[in-house]
Amino acid sequence: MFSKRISFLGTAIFVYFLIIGLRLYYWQIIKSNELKKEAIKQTHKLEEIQPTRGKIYSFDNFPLVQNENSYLLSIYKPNLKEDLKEILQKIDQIHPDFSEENKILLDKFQSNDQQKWITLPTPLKKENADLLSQVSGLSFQKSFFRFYPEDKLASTLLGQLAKNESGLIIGYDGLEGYYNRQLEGKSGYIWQNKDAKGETNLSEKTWHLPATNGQDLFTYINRSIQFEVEQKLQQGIEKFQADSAFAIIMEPQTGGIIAASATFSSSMATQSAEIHNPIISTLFEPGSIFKPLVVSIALDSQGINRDFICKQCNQAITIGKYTINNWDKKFHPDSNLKDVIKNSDNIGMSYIIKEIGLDKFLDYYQKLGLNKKTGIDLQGEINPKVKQNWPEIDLATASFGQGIAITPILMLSAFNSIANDGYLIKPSVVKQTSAQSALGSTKPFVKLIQKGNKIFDQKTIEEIKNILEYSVNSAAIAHLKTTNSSVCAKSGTSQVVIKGVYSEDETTASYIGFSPCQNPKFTMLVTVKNPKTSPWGVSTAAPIWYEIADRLDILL
Amino acid sequence: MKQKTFIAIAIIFLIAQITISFISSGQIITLNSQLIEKTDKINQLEQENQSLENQYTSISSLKHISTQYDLKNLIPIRQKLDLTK
Repeated sequence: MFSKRISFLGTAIFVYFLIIGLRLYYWQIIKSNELKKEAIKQTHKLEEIQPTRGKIYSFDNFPLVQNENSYLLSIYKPNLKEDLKEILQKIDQIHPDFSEENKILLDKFQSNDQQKWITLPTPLKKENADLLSQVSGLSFQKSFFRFYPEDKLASTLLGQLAKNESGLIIGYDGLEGYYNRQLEGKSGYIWQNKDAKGETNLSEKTWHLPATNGQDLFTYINRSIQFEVEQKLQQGIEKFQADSAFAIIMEPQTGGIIAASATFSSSMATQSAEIHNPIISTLFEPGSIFKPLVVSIALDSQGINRDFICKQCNQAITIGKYTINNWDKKFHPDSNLKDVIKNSDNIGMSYIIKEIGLDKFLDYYQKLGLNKKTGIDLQGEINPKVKQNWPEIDLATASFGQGIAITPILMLSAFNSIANDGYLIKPSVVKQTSAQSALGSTKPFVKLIQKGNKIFDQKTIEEIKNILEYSVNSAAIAHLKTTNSSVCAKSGTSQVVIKGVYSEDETTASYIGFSPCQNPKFTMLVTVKNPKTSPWGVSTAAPIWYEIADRLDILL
Repeated sequence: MKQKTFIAIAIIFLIAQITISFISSGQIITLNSQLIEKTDKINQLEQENQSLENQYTSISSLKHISTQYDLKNLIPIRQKLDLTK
């Protein structure tokens, strides 16, 4: 009996230890990896190190965009001990207009009992967040925002930051969008021991991958000129009662964008919100500012020679059911090239393009890059409209810039080839970037400036420059020129297509040119949309162009 | 006798180990608190630096200058020095 009990007890102890052994085998062998991970989670932490987003500088190394750490306020209803309205009054005292800025979100939050939590988008400064952190039900999340020392200056070019669908802050439009990858940098990570409170413990086992900060962008933007341009455009819109106006100024030899701005009248505020940068994202018919390019093509392709005389300019042209007439309904018989440009003679231009022929015209059209994007380093550039069929009437109207749709930057880029001794150069906003490595050393990356493709030979360039200078000096607008520098420019007015039909009332008035004619310092395009005081480019865009040029003479 | 000596040595080792671990853990705690303190200080200085940088660029901006001073009465300098002569 006794030995049975002993053997039973022995068996029970054996089974007991067997169960323990099996359980240990389960936890220590089978579940080993899972438990190791859990243990590491309890004793270690992985933290993401946010990189600093790169800054954007003007050509004089003044920051146009830098960073600002801010705090976003979150409200959790169940933890509120005071009335929300009283809390918002407190916040308004610290940060005026906070409630007003977030009115729509707060109204929804207050009226919806199901919604317990809200994070508001208005950034708060650290000192304000510290003051409010004691209020029950409020919490703060650190975030970063862009800070613009010059406020809205050059906003057309700079772009902005916003959250994408995944909630990540990324760049949209302009430079922020185009250079997002370079500006944002790369996150770093730190793997280290932590104590029970989650605070860092010093340990030799810390693993650290430093963050790589974003690259800074150094642009061609001249903030003094940009400032002047924005002011002059605003004044121009008011003076000529226009819907909008824009201007682009380019360094002829490098293609660097010195200034660019688009300004909308207050009545066009809705449209301005939709179109972020009309310089690259809208199409327009350039009108007569296109004529110098057609004459250059004609001379360069030897479609005409420099002694061209328009024998047929004494009457309107009829092509099929269409009649081409001059803008002032006047005829200029026996005009030479200079007079065709000076008088902005549509009839003369129609004969010139006929002499070039469609094949040669399209060949140069492609060489000038008018059938594709310029490739400027701004996000949002759109393609021009490329025609597949060119009936005779379309070729004739193209000679005075009607019936073709291109972006303003494309027009400026093509015209700049005349200023740049016949070389077509890609427009660019950024001159160089600085790559900050994890160790803090800076390796600047300088963009190589390529001379571009040669489109027109030197003889053509000299001839077209003479024509343009003559047309400026002998035109009624010569009095607008206040400086001694020579100007090679051309005005243009095009009718606006509304629902497929040319409007009788709305025009796009433009003025394009460079100065001085030899070794130019700038090429500029000014366009005024739908001016009410006068429909013509010569009366609206040209005065703005010369006012800006007067300032450029001092500032460049 | 041997057994007593052995126990005494064991106890001495045990006490020494406890003492050393107390001292070193105290050091670790001190160093950890220093680390937290200095990390906070760096963050605070970075914040201040950024704030000062933003303030400095704000007051030296064209926007600030144009609102603080009446620029309409100023006459632009048109003359240029030719330093090559």
